[in-house]
Amino acid sequence: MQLEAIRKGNQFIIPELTELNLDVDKIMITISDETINKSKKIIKSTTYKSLEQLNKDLGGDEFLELKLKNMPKNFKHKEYSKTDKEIWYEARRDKYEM
Amino acid sequence: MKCNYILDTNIILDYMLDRVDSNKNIYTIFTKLKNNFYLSSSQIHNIEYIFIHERKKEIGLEKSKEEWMAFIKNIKITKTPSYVDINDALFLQDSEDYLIELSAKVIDAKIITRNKNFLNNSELTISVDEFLKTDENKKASPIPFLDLKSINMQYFNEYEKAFDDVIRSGWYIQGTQVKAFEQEFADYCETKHCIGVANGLDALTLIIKAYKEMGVMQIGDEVIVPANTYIASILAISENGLTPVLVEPDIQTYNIDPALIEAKITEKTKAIMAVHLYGQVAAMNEINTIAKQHNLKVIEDSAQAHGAIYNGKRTGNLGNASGFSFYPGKNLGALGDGGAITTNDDQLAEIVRALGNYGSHKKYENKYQGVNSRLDEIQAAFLRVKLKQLDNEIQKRREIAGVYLENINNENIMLPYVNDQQAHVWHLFVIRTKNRDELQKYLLGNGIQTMIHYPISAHNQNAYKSWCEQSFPTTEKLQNEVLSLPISPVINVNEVKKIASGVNEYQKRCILK
Repeated sequence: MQLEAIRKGNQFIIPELTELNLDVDKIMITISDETINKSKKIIKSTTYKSLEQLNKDLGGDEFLELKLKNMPKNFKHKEYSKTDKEIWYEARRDKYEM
Repeated sequence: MKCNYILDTNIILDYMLDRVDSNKNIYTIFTKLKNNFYLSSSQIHNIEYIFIHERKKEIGLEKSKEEWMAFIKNIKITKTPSYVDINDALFLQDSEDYLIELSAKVIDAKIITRNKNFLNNSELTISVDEFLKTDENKKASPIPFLDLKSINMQYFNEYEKAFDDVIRSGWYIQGTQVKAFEQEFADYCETKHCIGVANGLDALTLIIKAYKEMGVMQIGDEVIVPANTYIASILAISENGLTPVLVEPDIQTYNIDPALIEAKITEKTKAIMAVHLYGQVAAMNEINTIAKQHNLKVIEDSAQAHGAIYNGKRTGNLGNASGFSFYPGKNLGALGDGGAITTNDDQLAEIVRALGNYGSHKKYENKYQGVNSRLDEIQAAFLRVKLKQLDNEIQKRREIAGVYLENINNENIMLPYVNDQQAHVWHLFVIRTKNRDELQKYLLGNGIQTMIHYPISAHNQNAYKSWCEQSFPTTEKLQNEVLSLPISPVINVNEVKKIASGVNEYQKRCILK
């Protein structure tokens, strides 16, 4: 069955289900992921906005367009603790199974 | 001239992996570069490994590879030379940096890096801050008449491949490159034959020599030729023992005036040499009609007009035979001397080919007293690279000419007359003014180099001193008034506008005086 929950300020109110005579103290309501995602306001990160601007300035760049497609709008770069040489070594080690 | 830049691996990875924490200005660098940068071929594998290794953590391997391909296919790559100096201080310090520096030297580039060691150890490096402070437009650099280096740098990678192919072939004279170029150029001109020779003068000389072998011409015969031309057109005739008969130009087009040709025809006249001066096709309808009426051959001097189209046909296919020059400054220029003859005449083609090869049509058999005039394999390989872009380059020249025509606006300057856009390939952009020498000095003082094509006409040259009594007033008027402004496929519109302003400004000063 479907229940109608009505927003009132910061609360949702569910009417008392007198006709059903339910012997319950609690009712669990499941909200679908779709509803959550639709409602969620994603704030574009500075990086994302900068990339959008750069792509615009360059008149549409194939690499940037693909990157923007693959990137979450709220992307934030995680600071690296490794140097390029260390990352390079790691990458080569993977390739040559050193 | 714009500066070239190579991006060090750290900078390119900052960009590709959005490492804004390492480099706050990373996107500003790319906004300023406008995708106009190079990578050294020595960097490619490192960038790929690190990028894929890191990016796959975020978006998976497949998407990382897609991003890599989207990136690399639009990047300009410069070669890493093989001439490594293992005793170089930078090589001893960091061979990766050394190889990038070596690549930068090839293309006269600066390397943008945030690697402190690299910045300290190489004079070719600049920091991100230094790069962001540079102002390309701040210091106006002089405008050369012709920036041959920039023209050829456009094709550097393809030249490199062509060079490798020729070296590896082990065949350096009359091999597959010459054969392929001859076919491609004949196809381009829509002629049956193209024969590569050593230079443009030889092309014209060998055409006449071949006609002599065919019995069409003989020593003492006459060839009609414009008085207003580069001396090569005339030398080709006298070299063969024939007499050049000079005809005045049309004052509008500067090409031979067809209305004056018939008066110069005698019973000794055997040909008309039609020169497409400055890139504009001569009046071929009229010239061919006169030639037909008097049973004369028409030889095109197409040295300055590769690719021009007249009545739907290209130069090289507008007469009986045509001579082309591939001198480096030409619209289709080699990296040294080169030339070619085009024709639809089977017999002429066969004889010309033999004449350029010691008169030999078969190894160690010499049918004619020939010369050694052949197009080199290496030049043919380079020309094949450039031929593919010839129409694009002609289009750029037309655009530049359009900017001049639109922006030079002064009654004291005579702009070039254009009969038909397709029939002009703008090898030169030639204006006329009575104060030519002063204007040239003024422009030079403002950093603009110009040239005169040509300051002394053939009949006034010591080489032809017996003609000094002859009078060619129109030709002489032109030799005193013409001035060639810079034009090429690499000059930019701002430079052209600056030149146009210089020309306009100078004339205003003249009037005020």
